[in-house]
This record gives sequence, C-alpha cells and structure tokens, in this order.
Amino acid sequence: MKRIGSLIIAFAASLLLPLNAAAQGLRVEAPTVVSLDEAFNVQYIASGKVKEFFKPEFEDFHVLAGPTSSTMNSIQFVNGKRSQTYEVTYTYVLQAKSTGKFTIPSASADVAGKVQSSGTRSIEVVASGQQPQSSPSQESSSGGSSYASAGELMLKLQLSKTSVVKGEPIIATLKLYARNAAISGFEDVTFPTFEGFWSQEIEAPQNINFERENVGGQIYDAALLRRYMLLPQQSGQISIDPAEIICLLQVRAQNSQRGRSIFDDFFDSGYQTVRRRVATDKINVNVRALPDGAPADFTGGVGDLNMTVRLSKDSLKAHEAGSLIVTISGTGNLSMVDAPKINFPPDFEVYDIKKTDNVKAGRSGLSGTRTFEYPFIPRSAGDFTMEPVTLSYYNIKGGRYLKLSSDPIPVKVARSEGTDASVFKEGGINKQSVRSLGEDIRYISTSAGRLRRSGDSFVSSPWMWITAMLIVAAYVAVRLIVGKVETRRADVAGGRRRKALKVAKARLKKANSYLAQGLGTAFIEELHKALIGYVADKLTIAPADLDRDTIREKLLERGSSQEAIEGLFALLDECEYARYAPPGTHEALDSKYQTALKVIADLED
Amino acid sequence: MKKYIAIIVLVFTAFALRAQDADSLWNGAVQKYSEGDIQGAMEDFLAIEGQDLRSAELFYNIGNCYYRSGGYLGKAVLYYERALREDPSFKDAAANLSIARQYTLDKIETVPEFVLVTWARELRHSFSSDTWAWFALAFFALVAVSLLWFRYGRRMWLRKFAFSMAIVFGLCCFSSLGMSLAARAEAVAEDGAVVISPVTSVVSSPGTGAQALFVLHEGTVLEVIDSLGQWYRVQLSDGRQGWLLAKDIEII
Repeated sequence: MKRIGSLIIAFAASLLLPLNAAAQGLRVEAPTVVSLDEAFNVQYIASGKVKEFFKPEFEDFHVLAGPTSSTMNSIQFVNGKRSQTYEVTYTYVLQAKSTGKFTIPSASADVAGKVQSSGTRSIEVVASGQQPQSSPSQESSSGGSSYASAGELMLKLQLSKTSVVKGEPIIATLKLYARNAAISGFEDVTFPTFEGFWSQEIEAPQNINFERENVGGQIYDAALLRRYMLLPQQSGQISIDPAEIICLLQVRAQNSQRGRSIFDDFFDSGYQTVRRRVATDKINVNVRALPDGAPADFTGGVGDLNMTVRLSKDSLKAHEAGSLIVTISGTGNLSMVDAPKINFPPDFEVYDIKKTDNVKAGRSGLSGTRTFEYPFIPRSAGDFTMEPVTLSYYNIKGGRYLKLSSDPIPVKVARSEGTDASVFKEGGINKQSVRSLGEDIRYISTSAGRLRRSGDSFVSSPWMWITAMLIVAAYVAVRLIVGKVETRRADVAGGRRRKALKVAKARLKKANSYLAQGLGTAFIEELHKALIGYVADKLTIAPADLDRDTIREKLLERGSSQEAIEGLFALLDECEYARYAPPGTHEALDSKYQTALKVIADLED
Repeated sequence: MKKYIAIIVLVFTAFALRAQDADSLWNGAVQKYSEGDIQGAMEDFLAIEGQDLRSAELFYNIGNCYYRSGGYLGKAVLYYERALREDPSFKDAAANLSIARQYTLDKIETVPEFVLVTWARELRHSFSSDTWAWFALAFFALVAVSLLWFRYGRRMWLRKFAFSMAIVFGLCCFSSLGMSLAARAEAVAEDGAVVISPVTSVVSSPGTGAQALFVLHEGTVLEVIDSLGQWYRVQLSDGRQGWLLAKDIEII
C-alpha cells in the first residue's frame, strides 16, 4: 500500500517538474568576431531553475552593463505531448579593450541542485572603425543609417584542399558574405556543377543564418549556403565553374529630393529593391594521378579502409545457393570502390555481384560500409578452400598502397540429398568438357639435360666416326670369323676322308681279334661296320644315306675300278648273308678277312 | 712422365669441378625457382650459360625465368627460340613460346610455304641433331647386318630380300645423316634474331637520316640477312626488309 502511494506521488511530481530536466545545463553565446569599439552581448543561458549564478571575471573586456537576467518559460503541446522549456538568461554588454583573440570566460551556476559550468568561447577582436550591424534584419528595421549604398557582397567557394590525389575527398563550402547590406531575398541561384568530381551535398540549410566572420580584418556576416563533399574522378587540372546568385538588397531611395506628398511618404517606405549578381571566382583544383605501381588487386579505393569477409552460411549443400559477403568499411571514397576479384573454386557457379551501400558523407569524406555480395551455387560436393580475398587501396596519409587480405576461406559443401534426382536424371548426366581456367607457361625443366660446350655436337664428331668405324670393324670381324668356321667345316670332311683307312684298319684289327677268340658273329659284325664306315668316311656321306647306287656313282666319280666296286659289293653281300646264317669255319672267316683287306686296298688306289 | 700424369690429372679434376659446379648451380636454381625467387634462379642459370655450357633445358629454364620476371618478353622469346634451336623436338619450349608469342605486339603475316617444304622441316624438327646422328649410325649397322645376311643367307629369296633391305637401310642412313647435318647447320646458323628493346624502328639504309620503314616491338622474330658495322639487315616473315641497330635485337 505504501508502495502504491509513493508511485502516485512520483507520478504527480513528474507532471509538475519540467520535462526537459535531462537537458539541464549552462551555455554561453557570443559573437565570434567583434570590432574594438563595438558593444556586444554575451549571454549565459541556463536551462532549468537557477538557484545561484556565479559571475565570470572579464579581464580583457569592459563590462558596460550586466548581468541582467531574464527568464523564459514555454510550454508546447505537440500531438498531445507536453514539453516545457524553462530558460534563464544572464546578459552582459561588453566592449573589448584591445584587438586580438580572446576567451570569454566560463561562468557557473547551480541549476536544479547541480553546479554546471558554461565552458568558454573564443572571440576575435578586430580594429574596425565602422560599426557593423549585428544582423541585416536589424539593419533593415532600424533603417536610420546614413549610407545609401547597397553594401558589400561576396560569394566564396572555399575548398579544404586544392591539391589532392585522385579519389581524395575535398570539402567545398559555399558561403555568402555580406557587409552593410540588407538582403531581402535571392533569385536565380546557380550552384556549381562540379564536373570531373563525384559530389554530394553534406549540408544544405533551409534557413540561411548569418554569422559574423573576420575576412581580412573586416567583419562580415557570413551565411553558409551549401557544403559539398567532392571526390575527384579524373587527374589533371580540374576547374570548378563559378556559382552565381542574385541577391535582392534593400536600398534607401535616393529620390527623396523630389516633391513628396504625404501619400508618398505613407505608401513609399523610402527603400527600393536592388538586384545584385555575385559570383565566385573560378577555382582550379590540381588532381594528381595515383602513383604508378598499383597492385593488381587495386580497385580504386582511396582513404582508410578495412575489409571483412564471411560466408552467408557455414555449411552448404551441393546445388544450394550461398553467398560470400565482403564488407569494406572505413573512410574514403567508399562509393568508388569496385568489387574485389574473387577466385571461386572450379565448379562454383557465380552470379552477378550485389552492392549495398551504407555510406554517410561527412567532413572527412565518405564513411560507413560498402557491402559486396557474391552469390554462388556449388555444383559438386567437397571441401574447398578459397584463396584469400585481397584488396589494395591507396592510403593518403601514408602516401602508398596498402593491401588488405582475408584468411583463406574454407567452404564445406555436403552432398545434397537430391543428388540422385538431380544428377542421375533421365537421359544421363550432362557431360561437361574440361574447362581451361587460365593459361600459363609450363614449369621449368628440373633435369639439366646434357650440358655441353657450344658448337659441340655429335654429328661428324670423332665419336660418331669412331662408332661408325666400330660397326665396320664388327662387320669385318663377323666376316672373318664366319669364313674361318666355313674352312674348318671343310677340313672336317677332308680329315674324315684322310682318317678313313686308319679307322677301317683299326676295326679290321678288332675283327681279327674276335676271330682269334672264335667269336664268329661279332667278327662278321665288325667286318661289316669297317667296310660301311670306310666307304661313308671316304665319300663323306652319312651312313644312313648309303645305298648301293650312291656308293657306286660316288666311287666311280673318285676313279675307283669296276672290279674293286664289285668286290666290295660281293663282300658286303657275304657279310649280310653270314649275319643271319651260322658263321662257318675259321678258314672261311679268315678268307673273308683277307678279301676285306684286298677290297680296301683296291679302293684306296 | 710423372709431369704428364700430373697435368692430365689436373685437367680432369678441373673438368670434374666445373661439371660439379654447374650441377650444384642447377640444383640451387631449380630450388630457388620453386620457392618463387625467380631473380636468384635466373642469375644461377645465366651463370651456367656463362660457363659456355648449353642445353635445350637450360635455355628453356632461362626463358621461363625471363617470362616470370615480367617485362622481358623479348628475352623470353629469345631463349625459347634458342632452346628450340638446340632441340627442335622440345615440346615444352614450343608450348611456352606460343604463350609468350601471344603477348607480343606485332602481328606479321607469314608468306605461305610449299607444303612439302613444311613437311620436310617438321620431319627434321621431330628429332634433335644428335638423335638423327644416332639414327644414321643405327641404319649403318643395319646395312652391315643386311650385307652379312646377304653373304651367308641359305635361301636365294632371303638373300635377295636382304640385299634390297641393305639398299633401303643405306638410303635411310644417308638421309638421317643429312637431317642431322642440316639440323646442326640450322642450330649453328646465326640467321635468326629477336627484338629485345621495347620498340625499334626499321630504316631503309644503315646510318642516320634514313627513311623509317616500319616499327617493331619486343619479342618479334626476324631473319638476319646481312650485317654492316652496328647495323643488321633483317627480313620479316612477310618478306619486308630493312636495317636496324644491333643493340635492339639479339641473335638467337
């Protein structure tokens, strides 16, 4: 119960208290430029109820009056919401003691139980004989000034820099300066087109507020018309077209000498409107090209940039869309930065890059982020690693190119469940030819090959002739060897013929020893062998090829007598007969032996 | 006698040391190239070339180094051409030369050639001079074998066949020898050049003040016909002729 009560009290209190209690504070307002003999106001404004005001000490100024305090209380209802403003203003009227730059000292006050400090304000005092108007509206209303001229007007375009590199931001401020002029309006305003620049308005105030400014020792009322941010798009000398404005000035009529009626005075205020054209000078900006040697991954960024790279999804499936998001943040010509080139793994289908800007133009150029989104669809599963994304930009402070690089980006592509349906479709899969991703020279040879002296080649070198000679030598050697083998073979036949008698005699001797032992059959056998062997050796024919006709022919060729041949055949017949019949007596066998000796002796002749 | 032996030993060790030096240079250069130190690799390869040693692979690697260092297109073309002179059947060098040629500025129409001449050249270029020489020796050996067969063959038709084969092999031997000699003559001939300076103008006569005929760019291959002092008379593959300064080109 007690708790609810305290809540109700708090609610009531909140209704009663000023709503802008949070904005409580103390501030100081003073003109920025005054002339030496000018009396000017300095106001300390406290928002909230002030319990006590601690006066400041003005050392450099004469206090002509003050402090005078005034309070203001306003209550607003906007859309049913109530807002209340309560302000207490302490006003001093001061005059400067000498020219120069001074500081309006800080005052403090106890605002709603808290001691607040106002802070200081710098003020410039110029030695000007003329009493400037604090504002043109005042002048037009006071109207009693003695001069009839239209006053001075200037239109100025001020650039933060006139010598920049391409892409470096320039702040251009268009200001109207007026002195002793009562401006009632503008006509036909032409703002510069800024050809050769990318321009953006930073400030375009709806209400034109004049503030005092010291221009070359003179106090002018200056009004900010426009503030632009310019980014040079081309190098070289770029001139900015003049801005033009036609001011409508209130000038006191000079024709007052004429006879004036009371009605004239009543209807004619004594002022007439004069049109005055003011224009800025032509300004040249010297834009230097970016230094040579830009890295390959430079895409036009100038300023102070950062880059983050991420994938829209950590894991993907084949045939599922994903995207790589590259965010470039920082200050500089963000709107001019092109997308960095990214090498996607093969078999990734890559679509058009999407750009998203979140860029604010400010005094230091564009700041914010520019996001590039690279949509892609992996067409096959696997673990891929994309090469690091690199982006180079020109750093104005360092005066050189800096390189931003991400880490290698791993992409895991899982097999899609629908693989069977999508890949093994009817009619088979779509065959694709092996694409060439790029062309490059082949790698160096790792083996030295045959290093040799220049002019040194194998053909017609001694080595070649030596090899050719070796071949000839081999040919000759083969010829010689084969020839020798042939003669040796011929010698074998002759030797056999020469040894024929010796062999036959040995066999006959053996047969004779069989005869002595009384082995009749073995004797006949050996005798027959001796005869056949002798004939075969003599005629150098194989014993298997022996037949009577060949023997007869060959022996006749050799010049043997007919009787000897007949004797041989008769003996051979006897031997063949004796092999299948009883051998007969010792004497018969002995006569056969004697006949054989005689036949061999006859054939030998 | 001892003195002679000492001298011979000294000469042999000098050769061995030099060979070893070239080998270690080569391995170091390949290592540097694989690590991306193209400049270092190139210096080592050029040091091997500076020892008056040459091989198609060496020229090919130097060409690769020049290509990789960028801005030396003319040199790269020059060394690929040299590698092909050394070994016309070097496929890698031919492939890299065609890639390097894509970046040369000058596009020159070649005069069409009789097809048999092209065939003959392509046949000759399918092997190096040394390989042709070995072919000639092999055919020579086959002639010898055929003759032996002819001499000692047992059957008449085989002997006839061996004799005709001996004639065929003899012809092959001579044409291989011819190919080998022609290939060597081609390799030794100083009739080709490559434009080395980025741009050079070809003038109508040697000396200053001559009429400029046409402008050539780095990497263009020329035929050298004649030379006079600091000037070379050159011919383009489309038949145009002119004179240019020796410093702008390098003989292959």
